[in-house]
Amino acid sequence: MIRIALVGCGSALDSFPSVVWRLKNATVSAVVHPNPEIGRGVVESVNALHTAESLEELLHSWGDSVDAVVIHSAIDDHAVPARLAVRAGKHVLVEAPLADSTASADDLIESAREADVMLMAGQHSRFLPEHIEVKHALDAGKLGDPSLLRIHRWEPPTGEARQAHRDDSMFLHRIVREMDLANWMFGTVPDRVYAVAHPGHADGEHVGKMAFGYFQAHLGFPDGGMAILDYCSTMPARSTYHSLSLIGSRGAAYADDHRNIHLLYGRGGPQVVCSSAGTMHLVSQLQHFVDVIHENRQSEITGADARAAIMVAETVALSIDTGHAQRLVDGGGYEPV
Amino acid sequence: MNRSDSEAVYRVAVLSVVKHSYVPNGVLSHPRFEPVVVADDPTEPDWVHERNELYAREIGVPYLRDVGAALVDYGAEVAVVSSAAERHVSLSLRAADAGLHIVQDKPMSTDLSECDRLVQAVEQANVKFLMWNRNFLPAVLRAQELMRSGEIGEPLAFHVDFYFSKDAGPPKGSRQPGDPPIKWIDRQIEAHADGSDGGVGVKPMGELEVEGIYPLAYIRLLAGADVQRVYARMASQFHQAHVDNEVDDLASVTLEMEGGLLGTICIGRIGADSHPEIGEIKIHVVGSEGGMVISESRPEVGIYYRGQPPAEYRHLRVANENDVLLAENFLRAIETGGDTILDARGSRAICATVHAAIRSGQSGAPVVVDCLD
Repeated sequence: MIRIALVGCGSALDSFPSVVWRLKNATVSAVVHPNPEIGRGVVESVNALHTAESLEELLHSWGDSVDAVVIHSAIDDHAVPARLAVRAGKHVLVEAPLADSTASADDLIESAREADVMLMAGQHSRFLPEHIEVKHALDAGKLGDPSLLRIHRWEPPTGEARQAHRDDSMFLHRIVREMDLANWMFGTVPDRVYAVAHPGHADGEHVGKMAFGYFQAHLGFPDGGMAILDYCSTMPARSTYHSLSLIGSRGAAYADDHRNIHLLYGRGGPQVVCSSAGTMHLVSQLQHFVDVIHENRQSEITGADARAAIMVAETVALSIDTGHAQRLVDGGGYEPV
Repeated sequence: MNRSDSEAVYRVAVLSVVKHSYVPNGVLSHPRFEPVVVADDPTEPDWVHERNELYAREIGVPYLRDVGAALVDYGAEVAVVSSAAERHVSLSLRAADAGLHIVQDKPMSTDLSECDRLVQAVEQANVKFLMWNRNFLPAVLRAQELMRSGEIGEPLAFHVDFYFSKDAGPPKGSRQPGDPPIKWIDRQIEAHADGSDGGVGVKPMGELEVEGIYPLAYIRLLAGADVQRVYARMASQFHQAHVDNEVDDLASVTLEMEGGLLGTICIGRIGADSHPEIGEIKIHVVGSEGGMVISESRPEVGIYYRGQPPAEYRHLRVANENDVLLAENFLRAIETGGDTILDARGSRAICATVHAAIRSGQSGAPVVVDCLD
């Protein structure tokens, strides 16, 4: 039985009570939360034994009760607690982004290698049921070669999003998942990157060079592959929209919220109602983490994958900042076209 | 040539109809346009004359191998041009010089300098010009209404997917060693039978050049802004004819517009097996206070039955008044002196955007669009 410590803050841990009871060969033994009251509540909801206000405290007091650490904080630099856990000999699942820079990611990957522990880059978007179906069809050859990937991700300006917009480095949190999805679908990193952005908010509330309410990235992949990804944080409260379509050389896949809506005719007039996506993706990701530890094998999402997504996200930011398209150079990294 | 009699019927000369009969048919769906002649140049090849003659018989008017005579001798007031793409401007210029209002098929031209000539000619002759488009589809009109309502705040970005799930000859990779490359014009003539010959012309044209006007016209309508800079990727992914002629059948374009507005289009002739309907055609608009997702094909009705021919459309658009509303828009422009929904300058702006995107796709760098003053 793998004993897991959950490290989170904000609303990041809200989903776990509905997730952990479905895990096989694992149990949650501890919870880390900066607010002791919230931490105790999570401990109760997931039937854990211990709580702590910091990972340092947990590892010092209850380290022997933990085999693996799941880091799911909202916007902090994930590499800091991850590095601490790795050096304590714990297997680690780090929700994206793995780190706030490629340099920091490299350091974390090396630390995990030296400690001989599992470092899995969390990317729950890969475990969303609709994305799994698209990837299965692609891998089975049903769609032919991936040709054009289009992703829309629209969100409301939640407190988390507003906070992220105030910090240039937190730009990664907004875009790294989509970059990873693109790399995953094409099986490599893009050889061209071009991106543009818009402040987005009508009230002009934007601080820092990455303070965008809206951006779009245009990626080129080898053999004519291409991807367009757009993100906004200007949707009304509680309104999200996500769409992924993949045009392949032999077929196409459309995973679009637009296809999955219901209509409600109530007192407030006609409304669109979406079914909840549930937590299956979180269960699948966490179970995968547990399984690879159990079976002592490599995760399907490696630190290198996470590093690649961060590198592309950084390049997107650079393109926005400079107005130049960027091209991949031999040995990694990008330069202006 | 403005008429005072608001109930008068305008006499229409159809100048070549080798590409799309739906353009003259669309104009003639309006009760105040009537055909008087079909014409083309005598130097055109036999297959062109055969197709023109067939159409002239269908609509019950004479066919002339003399464009000049058709423009003068039949009292025509309107010319409808649907020739091979390279000849669009030549025919439209002659119509403008003869004082006829013009409805033209897309693209405006394969050469941007030709577009400039036509803009100048239309404005000097003081005639009206309409580039045939789809901006009066019910879903597009609805999108425009929603934009105007302010429901999503100020617009930030416009995205259009414009995928036709059609085949275009043999699939990519089907050419055997020793086989000659497919000639573009041969492929287009061959495609007449199934109506998929959107790229008729001697010069090969990619999907972006052939169909790009539609998504760009949507964005131009909704944004009310011209595109200033583009970044594009293009590929030949599906059809051997496109591979052999080194033109795209799939493209994506980043658009940077006036006022900081942004956008993208994704366009492709993605193959008949890639979508259950005619294709995924959607408009996404991001605003400062929300967003909207519009299916361009709606409203539609689905019809399925045992023994249904594979090529028969299962999903049929309904309540589509695009043709007659375009014709009405053209008529109003003639009679009121106003602009058409896609006039010569607007068409030229779209053509410039497409040409800039093609250059960007070739260079891998963003390209500034060559805008008129």
